Amino acid sequence: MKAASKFRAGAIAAVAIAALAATSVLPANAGQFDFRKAVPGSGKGITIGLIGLDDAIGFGKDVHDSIAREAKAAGAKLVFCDSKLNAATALNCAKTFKLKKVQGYLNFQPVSTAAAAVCKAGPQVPVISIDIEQDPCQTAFMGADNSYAGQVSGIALGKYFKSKFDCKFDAFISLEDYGVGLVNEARMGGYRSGFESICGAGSIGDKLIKIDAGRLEPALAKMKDALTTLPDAHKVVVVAINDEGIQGAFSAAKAVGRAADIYAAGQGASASAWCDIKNTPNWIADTAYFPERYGEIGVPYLLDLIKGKKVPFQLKIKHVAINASNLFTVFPAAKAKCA
Amino acid sequence: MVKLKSGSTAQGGEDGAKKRRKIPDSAPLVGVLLFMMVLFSITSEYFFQIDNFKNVLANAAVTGIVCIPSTFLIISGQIDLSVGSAAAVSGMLLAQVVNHHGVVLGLLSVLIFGLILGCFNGFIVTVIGVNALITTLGGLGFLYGVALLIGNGQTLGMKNFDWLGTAQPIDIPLPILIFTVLAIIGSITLRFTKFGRSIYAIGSNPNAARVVGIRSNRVMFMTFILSSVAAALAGAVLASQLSSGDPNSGLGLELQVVTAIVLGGASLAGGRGTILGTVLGLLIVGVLNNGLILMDVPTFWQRIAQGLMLIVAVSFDSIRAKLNNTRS
Repeated sequence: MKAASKFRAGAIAAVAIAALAATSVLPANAGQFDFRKAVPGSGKGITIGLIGLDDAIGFGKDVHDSIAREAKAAGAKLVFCDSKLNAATALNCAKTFKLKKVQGYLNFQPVSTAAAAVCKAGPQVPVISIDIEQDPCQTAFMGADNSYAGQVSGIALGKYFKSKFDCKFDAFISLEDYGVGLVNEARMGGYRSGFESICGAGSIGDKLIKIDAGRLEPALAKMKDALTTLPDAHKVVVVAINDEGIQGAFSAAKAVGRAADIYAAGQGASASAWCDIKNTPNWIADTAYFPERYGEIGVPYLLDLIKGKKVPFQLKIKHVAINASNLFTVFPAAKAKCA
Repeated sequence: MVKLKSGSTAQGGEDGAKKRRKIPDSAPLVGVLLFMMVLFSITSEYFFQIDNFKNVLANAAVTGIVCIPSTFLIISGQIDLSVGSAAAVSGMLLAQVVNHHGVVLGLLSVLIFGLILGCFNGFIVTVIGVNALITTLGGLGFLYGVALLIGNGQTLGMKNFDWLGTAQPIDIPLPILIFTVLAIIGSITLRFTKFGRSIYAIGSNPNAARVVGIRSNRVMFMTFILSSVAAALAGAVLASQLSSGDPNSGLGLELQVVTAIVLGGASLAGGRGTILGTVLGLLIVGVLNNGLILMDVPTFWQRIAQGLMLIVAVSFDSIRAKLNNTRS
């Protein structure tokens, strides 16, 4: 609630928030940290590992690339192993790290309940988990604050609906991904709590429609069906677990001639979604995760741990609400891309 | 007989030449495997280590457990694409039951699940007469939904049951031992039992098999049961390795299984294949995956290599078939 009220106070502050994305305009949740470039030479002679999420996913690839970039800048050797969203593969990665004698590793394997097995199979060295808890071996946790990230866009949507429609809407479609378990619950629950913090507790109620369609293709297919079941709805809130879901939702709505009926918010603000956020009038908000800068937390803090320095347990990203008006300020590279 | 042998010198000479020319079917596979091992030993200092070989075999074992009865199925001209999702359901079921009712009931539930699924697949294919590809493709989607349903979309942690996946009697991981035993039993069954010969006969010519009195439907029904029980066992081993049931854990397992079996010389058209070939195919895929990781090959190239492996495997199958037709 504290977060919500501070956010509300900045009614016209979206641009300012974006301009100071890496600072503390948004209320800082406990454990949120500033990005910190790796010091050149600080990793010389050190071998670190990364168990990746999946390089076939834009987010996972951005995280990998940023960690590779920072490891190179620090002079550390990076051993990368892609879990491909599979815990068994991650287990194999951990065994490989043991063989390759990594001195510390970042772990982005997707199945938290398999973390103990992965920890046991890997070398007994400092571990920083990324986005997903890796008990019992994680020395620190970095990454998204999923519940808070959902709230950020939920609040932005709520504020929009309050100012434009006095919080009146016909349906609240939630494009989820049950395959990612707790992350799904936290993020999608965050949307709802954020929205209701503006439009009132229980305001979503039975208007909630949950659909297992977190990715582009299922969202494209299932949103058409969902809109067909809502023929008279002209104010439909759509939230998705990532940007792809919203891209699919808008494509579906356009295909059935109802793009103006949906008002959406996504998660990620990844480069592939920048131009859509800028050019789609009803893309109301998006939460930035900055995967392209994860290495600026993961690598320097892992090197600190390997050198025996104390590091806070929570190393969370500062999420920022993005919309068409602040996009270019937060992501200057978007200007050239979407001009 | 003796007269024929001694009397037909030319024939005898030709036989001898054929024998000399006859190279075991598995020889090219052994060659490829050895070549890859030498290559990876040279390119990665970590490859030629006992611990790494254990890793390769332990990883291959889960797929291998499914491969044995799947080889039976493919030889008989059938296929089971539901094995990956079946393994996922098995892992989820095991985690759920072990956490609430203990290990014994957990393993029992997995076994019963495998039996029921096998009977279901067998019934649909042999009694209703639906194509196995369609039946098990439907099963793949259906069972994935069941796996998600069991955990309500979440993975399930599992306590106090990691021995099946991680124990090392005689310093060898238990999954490797299970796979080895199954491979030996499978090989003996195929080569020396009536059941095994029936599988070859059905795959070679189902009509002829029926005419000579082989109860094709019964044999295929049994084979589907074996396939599903093995998939359930593999899911249990995997869940035990991870101390966790994961609805996504078996995704793609069916493709790995088909790749290994076809690469090992089994024909998708049925009638041909061996357990030895499947084991070699499995090892080639396992060594390739392991070697690429050890060499730090970018993940996209790893996927390309794995995809190419499947294409090569199926191409081998076609080339072999053409060569056989030419010779005959």
